[in-house]
Amino acid sequence: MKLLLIAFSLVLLTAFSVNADVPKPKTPDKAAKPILHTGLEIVPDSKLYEAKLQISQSGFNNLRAALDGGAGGSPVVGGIAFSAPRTIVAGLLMFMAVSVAGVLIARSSSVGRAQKTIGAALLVAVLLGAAAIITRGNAGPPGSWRWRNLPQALADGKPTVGGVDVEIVPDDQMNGPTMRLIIPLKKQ
Amino acid sequence: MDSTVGVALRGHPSPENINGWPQRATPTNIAASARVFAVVTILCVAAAVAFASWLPLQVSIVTLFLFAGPHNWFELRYFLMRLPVRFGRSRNFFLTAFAGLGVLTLTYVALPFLYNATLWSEEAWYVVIGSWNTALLIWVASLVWLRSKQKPRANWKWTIPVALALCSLNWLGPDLFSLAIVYVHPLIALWFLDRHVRRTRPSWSRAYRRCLWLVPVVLTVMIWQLSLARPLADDNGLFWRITQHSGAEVLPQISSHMLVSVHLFLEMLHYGVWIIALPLIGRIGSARFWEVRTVPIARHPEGFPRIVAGLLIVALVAVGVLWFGFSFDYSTTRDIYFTIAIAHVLAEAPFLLRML
Amino acid sequence: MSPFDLWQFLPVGYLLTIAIETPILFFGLSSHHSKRRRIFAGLWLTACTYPIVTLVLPLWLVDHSRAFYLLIAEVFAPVAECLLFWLAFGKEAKWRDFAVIVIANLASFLIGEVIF
Repeated sequence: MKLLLIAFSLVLLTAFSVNADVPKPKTPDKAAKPILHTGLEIVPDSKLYEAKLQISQSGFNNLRAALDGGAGGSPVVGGIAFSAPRTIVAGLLMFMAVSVAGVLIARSSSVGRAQKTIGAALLVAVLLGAAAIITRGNAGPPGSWRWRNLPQALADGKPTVGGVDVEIVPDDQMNGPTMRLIIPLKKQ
Repeated sequence: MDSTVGVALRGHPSPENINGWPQRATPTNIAASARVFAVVTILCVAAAVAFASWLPLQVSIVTLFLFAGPHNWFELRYFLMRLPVRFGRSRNFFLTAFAGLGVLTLTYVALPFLYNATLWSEEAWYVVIGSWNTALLIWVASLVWLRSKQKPRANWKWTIPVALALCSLNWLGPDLFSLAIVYVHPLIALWFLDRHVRRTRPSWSRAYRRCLWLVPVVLTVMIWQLSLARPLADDNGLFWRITQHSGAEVLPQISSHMLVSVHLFLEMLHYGVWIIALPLIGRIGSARFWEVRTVPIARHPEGFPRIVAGLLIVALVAVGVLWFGFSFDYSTTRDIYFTIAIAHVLAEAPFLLRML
Repeated sequence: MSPFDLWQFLPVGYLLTIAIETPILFFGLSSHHSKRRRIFAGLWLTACTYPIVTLVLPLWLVDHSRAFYLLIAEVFAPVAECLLFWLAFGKEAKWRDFAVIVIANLASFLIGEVIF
């Protein structure tokens, strides 16, 4: 029983803490929220006199869509254009799926293979949906791994490609109207 | 006499039974043959991943040109092999299968024409695609239900909530769901091969299933290595079509190199199963695959040898036409092929269910 | 709220709701239901109705007042959950169980109103 109460408390705590993760609007030094995840290539060029920031047309379109309040930078979420009619249909079907699954599980006499299969299949479906909605599924290795050889590559004049989160930061937290590139380099 | 149809019919004594399954061979050295099978499978997977990662666009063009048509021919022959002479208790199953196949194929082929003829919004198109995907899922769920009625011991009720959950996910992103079909379809061939190996070469089944673990491992490595690769140059119409077909437009933030390579790798496995693995496994100790009499519904006294031969010849001509089309206008032929090819994607569902 | 906001809220709201309703169902449902079944009911019943309450009704009733939405949602949820409970457990479902389901829904509604 104690174990059960602890479990309930944990779920409750998780629910509140998840809610608490949403940044408060008036907190002065809030962490900037990434609005887009994309790729970045750093190319040293000895022939240039001015640094250049080149953005692909599709990347720019994605950035603009993200700024316009789209679904954000997840590769999967980015492909989902949420609309009211489709959300209604999806919600109704989700209601039916979970209801039928639960009735089937409850009516089967023992914990059989069917129950486990329904549970596993629905869990996969829920995880897929949740991953698409919640996560910013940055496919590939951790960002820092891609940048680990940047100093050497710069010294050798070679390009380096890695992932980058685009963040919009308030002016007072920057040195004027500039852009800042922060690279996750670990000390070696 | 069936020789009039122009396909070699010289009778080899066929070891296949009327259900289309070759009788089990008894190899003298089972372990050795399973090892050879495993080594060949691993080599094929390695070759596929190497080519798909190295020159995805070029290899995609060559692969589709060479194997798209022939693999459809082999698939048609394989399905004919599995078709019973009389539907009997399976009448409703086959009627539902063929009716759904016809309606879904026709509506799918009609979509591009509809697109050109109307000025619907993007959201309206999402609804159209979502509706088609829902119809597909309902059709598959109906087939599963009809098939489960023939298997009293099997409890397939769990497929109902799973189908509903998939319908729900589909409405979340119909274009993503369609893309998922593009990526999942090649893997169905591996399922066919698994069932075939289990029935005809049970001693190879373990080795084959171990080899299957290579697929997720290879896919993980490919995704890891290519996720941030430079996008492929899609500056000409053909390359653009290939990247679009792999989902570059639906998933713009994922490297198109990764998408094309992964899709090509899966396609190569798909072609390998239908053109090499299944005919070879069927042929060992069996008759030649081009002989009409190896198809049970052609061999049976009450069968349809002329229709079967006619279908196979028409399919052979279609392969030739496809090659000609690819040589003449690759891009347009590719578009047409991938639209019409939905029929073979759909046809796999009922025949796979018959094998379960 | 946009559909995307609703989708984002769904998992958070679900966790919060089951954190409130599952203990009520666990301690309130008739004693002949096993502990496992009571926990299952706590997780499952909300999972069924929550997509309707969170995704479908807010968008469907977008042109109506919040009070009207709340009336529909808070009537739908307990009625649907009682029906599902009966479908799942048949004759084992008693009037007390239905009453507890209604109380659990009322509790989650009231706590939800306080929090949000």
